[in-house]
Amino acid sequence: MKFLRVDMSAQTVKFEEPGEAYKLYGGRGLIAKILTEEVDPACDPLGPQNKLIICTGLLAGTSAPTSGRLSVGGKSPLTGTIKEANAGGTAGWMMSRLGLRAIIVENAAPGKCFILKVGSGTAQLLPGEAYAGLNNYELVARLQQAFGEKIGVISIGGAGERGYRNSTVQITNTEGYPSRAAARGGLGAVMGSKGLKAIVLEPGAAPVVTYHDREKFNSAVKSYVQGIKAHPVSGEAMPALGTAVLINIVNAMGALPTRNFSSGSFEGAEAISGERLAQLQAERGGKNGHACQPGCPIGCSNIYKDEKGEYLTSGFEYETIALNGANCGIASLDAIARIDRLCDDFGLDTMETGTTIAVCMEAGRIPFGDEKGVMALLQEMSDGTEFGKVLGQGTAATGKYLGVQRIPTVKGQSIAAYDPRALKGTGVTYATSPMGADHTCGNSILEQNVAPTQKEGQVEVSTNLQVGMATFDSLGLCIFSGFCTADPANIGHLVDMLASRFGGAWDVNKLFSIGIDTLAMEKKFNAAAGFSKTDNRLPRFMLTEPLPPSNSVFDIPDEELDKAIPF
Amino acid sequence: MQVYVKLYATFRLKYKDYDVPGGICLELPPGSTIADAMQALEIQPEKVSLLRKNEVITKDIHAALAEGDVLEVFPYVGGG
Repeated sequence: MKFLRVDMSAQTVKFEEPGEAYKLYGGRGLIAKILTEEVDPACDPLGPQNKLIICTGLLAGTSAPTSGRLSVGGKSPLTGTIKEANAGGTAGWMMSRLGLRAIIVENAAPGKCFILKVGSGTAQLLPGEAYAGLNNYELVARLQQAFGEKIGVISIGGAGERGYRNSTVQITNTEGYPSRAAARGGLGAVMGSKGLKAIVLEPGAAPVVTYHDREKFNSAVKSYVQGIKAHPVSGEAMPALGTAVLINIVNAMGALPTRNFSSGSFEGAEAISGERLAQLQAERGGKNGHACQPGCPIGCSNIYKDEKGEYLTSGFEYETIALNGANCGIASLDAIARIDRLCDDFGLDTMETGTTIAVCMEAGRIPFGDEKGVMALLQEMSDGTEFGKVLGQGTAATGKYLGVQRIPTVKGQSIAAYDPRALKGTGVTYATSPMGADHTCGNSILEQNVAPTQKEGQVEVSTNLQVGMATFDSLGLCIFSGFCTADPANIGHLVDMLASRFGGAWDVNKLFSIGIDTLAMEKKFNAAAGFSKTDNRLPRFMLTEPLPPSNSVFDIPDEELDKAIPF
Repeated sequence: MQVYVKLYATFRLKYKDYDVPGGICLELPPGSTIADAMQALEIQPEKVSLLRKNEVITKDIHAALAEGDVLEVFPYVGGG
């Protein structure tokens, strides 16, 4: 698997063999390695010194389930920290079919617009002025018209072009819709700052992967797939009801962010639940149990159709629904789906958008529950009005602009859809992850031994989860495939996959050393960028303001937080 | 006595005409427990991740139920 380096200043491309030193780096770990070695942590994230890295994981190109995950990284313009955001879709799978581990976009062509077209052993920067200003759905349709329907596309919409710090990199799914997002941290703006509008991937051919022991690898994959399918979450709940299945239970736990994190319980939860979504889409001809990447045995994604039975959006997820629904006081799935569509199209992080809108509601700019008001604010972002540009800088910037005291962010990134006062393990992750508040870095929702509102034991819970998630993000596997690793036998199958793919002595410690090594590099980058332990804190209102209905506060002392991820 | 059981996620999918606001009305002998209600619905306790009785989280499946109690039963779910 090769690296493709793209110099946007010189407008040149170069394939290179990464060499032995990179053999055991993939996904999030590879991004951390390249950034710590090649990018000044103090650089301007939207300047030419930053690099945009798009890469696959260690198990990419193999038959390992969910191994087509795509990681996108760079220094974040939203947080100022290191950033890796990963997504499903077809692009990771296609990069493997083109023999690529990573595309590294360097320098910048400010004010210009290019399309990078990649084939098997070929890459070209093509003039992209004809595509400038297009949003993702029309952009992808036109690229498919020009280059064929089977291409994969990695692209930015207007938000990325405008330099919005809440902008995404969108990725096409198995239907060719740009509905999967490397959403967090404003990496769309990094891509826009380079002058790169889209990457077009040709379908390629079956990946060429060498194995130390192919038979053993296949056997481990087979056993691991059985483990995924036997687990009640990845084998039953998620295929049937998608990630939105969380709405009702998180609401029952009193942790569903409601009206800008002022309550953990939303009276309209059932109306926006996964159960309701599945029922509605069965009536309208939509789909649950949809695989966002080829060969996924889970299929937690969906195709969402509107009242007329026409396609509206896909990959319509829990976080989007909770943060644009309950957190904005909106109890209509159709209204939230329209927000999701607009965000995917324009290229906005749905999570950062939901929390930004809720902060506007708290400030009285529009009332909670005002669906039309939300669409008008999104239109302001799209139109690039002065206030729209403020919104595009994210929740922290908008909250400060409007004089809001209760701003739910850590390191400038919005908290996800679990109030940390009622799910404290996830709260430790929000506080201490090198990424800023990010649930995918270690979510304690399935923790059974440490009660969610108890303060003891959460640092250890979060640390273990953060190591596990950093490992999965480096393997390039979807973290949902990892629920089954609660059974040590399934960890054994993962170890066997790595041993039979790469050779050498592997055990569980070596497997998770991938995550530990990744976290250590990320912390090193952040320290050099000026971050310290005092940045590893939740918003102060969450320490003093009781969250109804549990009336819990986040009471884990700072000195305890400082013990998390000690690498 | 009558108690109401609200089911969520995959537990609910087993009932085609499930009544969303009301749940399932069970007729149980006086003194019945949460475990009895789950047994009546063929729900195995080890498949339950969260229980609420009258909107309060409980882990005690041997707690007695009273007339009109509302029980909420969740299987393991995840995602996000």
